[in-house]
Amino acid sequence: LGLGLAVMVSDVLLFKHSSDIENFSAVTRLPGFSLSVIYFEPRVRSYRDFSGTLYPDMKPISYMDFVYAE
Amino acid sequence: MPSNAFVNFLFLLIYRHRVKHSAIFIISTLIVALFSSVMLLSNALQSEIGLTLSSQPDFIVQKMRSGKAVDTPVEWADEFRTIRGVKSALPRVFGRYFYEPNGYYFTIVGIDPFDEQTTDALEELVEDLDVKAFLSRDNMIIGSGVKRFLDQYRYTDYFDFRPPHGSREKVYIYETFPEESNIVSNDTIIMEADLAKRILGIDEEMSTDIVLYVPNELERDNVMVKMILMHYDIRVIRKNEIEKAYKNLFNYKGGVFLLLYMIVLMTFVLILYQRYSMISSADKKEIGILRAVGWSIKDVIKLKVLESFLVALLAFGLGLLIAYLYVFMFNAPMLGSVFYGYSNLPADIKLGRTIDFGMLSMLFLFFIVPFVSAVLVPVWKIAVVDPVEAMK
Repeated sequence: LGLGLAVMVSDVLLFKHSSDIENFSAVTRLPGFSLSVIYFEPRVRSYRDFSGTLYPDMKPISYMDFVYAE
Repeated sequence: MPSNAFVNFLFLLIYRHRVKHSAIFIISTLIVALFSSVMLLSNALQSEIGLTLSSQPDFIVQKMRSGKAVDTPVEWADEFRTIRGVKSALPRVFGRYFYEPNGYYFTIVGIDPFDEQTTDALEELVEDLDVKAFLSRDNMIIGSGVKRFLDQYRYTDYFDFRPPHGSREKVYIYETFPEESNIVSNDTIIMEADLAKRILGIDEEMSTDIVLYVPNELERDNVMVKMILMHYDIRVIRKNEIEKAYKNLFNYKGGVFLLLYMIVLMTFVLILYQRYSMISSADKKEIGILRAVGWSIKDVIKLKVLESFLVALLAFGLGLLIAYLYVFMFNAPMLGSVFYGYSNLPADIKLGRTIDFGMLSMLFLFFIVPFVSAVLVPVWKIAVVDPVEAMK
């Protein structure tokens, strides 16, 4: 167990982070993950289109709202 | 410092009570593994999201109509560029392309191949990228999820997009993004901006929104006011608003976190209850004998506390190791789907190794302290009674 934990810590410390994520977001200039959500949910979470703000209606349930709190 | 004889006796005691300890050990390991998995996954995602935020523009300008974001004129970028302090203002093109037959969609991003930041980052991201060859015909670079999807439908070389006005756009697959970037690129297709506009049905002189870079922090408020004065029907999103929104994603108000907290709490209460009621007559007798042969109350309490502490420590270590292997080696099957979603293209996400040691110490304290204290009270209750009474 001790050996396993030591390997775990060294794996974290020696892990070389790839710059692919930074490069990709520098290309797209979009934040956030490539969430696998249904079409009605926002793909880029912080850019809601505020469609229900002026004309409140029954909004479809956003599954990710249960996972992530804003 | 406990003597060798004390330590020997302690391990003998644990070995003797191994059956009694094993149930608690297994439950505790599972609790720690479950809770650590969520924490490790959440920390790793938080760290990855931090990487995506670093290269974000300082402002995003969206044109609003009837409370909805609509396409923004490209010429606004030229207007915003004239504001003092604005380093660059770029129209951005992105949107979702819905694939009718099975209800999946791709995220299409249009790029400007003559923008230095874009081409530099793209060249680093895609090995052997030849920008001239990429622009020589209608090409696209796709994420791994899109690649798997297209392969499944035998689109190995190109894909026929159907723009809203009914024509067809044949776009060739130029390259696939590396799997390390799957967390952000899985469902994404990158192509030249004009082509993306044709596929997404955006007019040539329009864009999805406009992004601005304002390097001097002191000038940002002023730039924002000037933009609003230029166009009253806009919404300006600041970089720090986005950062705040994404940081808040991982607070502990989320339903899943709450649910897991409740499960952990309930199980812990059960363990504590079991621990309280587990002082059997044999345990009483054992403590009575120890007291009769000259052990002080302090020694007995120390022995029992250390016994529980060792069991809890081993359970914590093993639980943490299981969680680490589950999250980083096996890419968190099932639990990962909760965080990434599973309604669109399936994602095979590899997370960067990140451990927040502050979080681990908090978890350690919240686990060990109730565990050990649950034993302390009943042991103390028995240890203080007369040895003869305890052995009866």
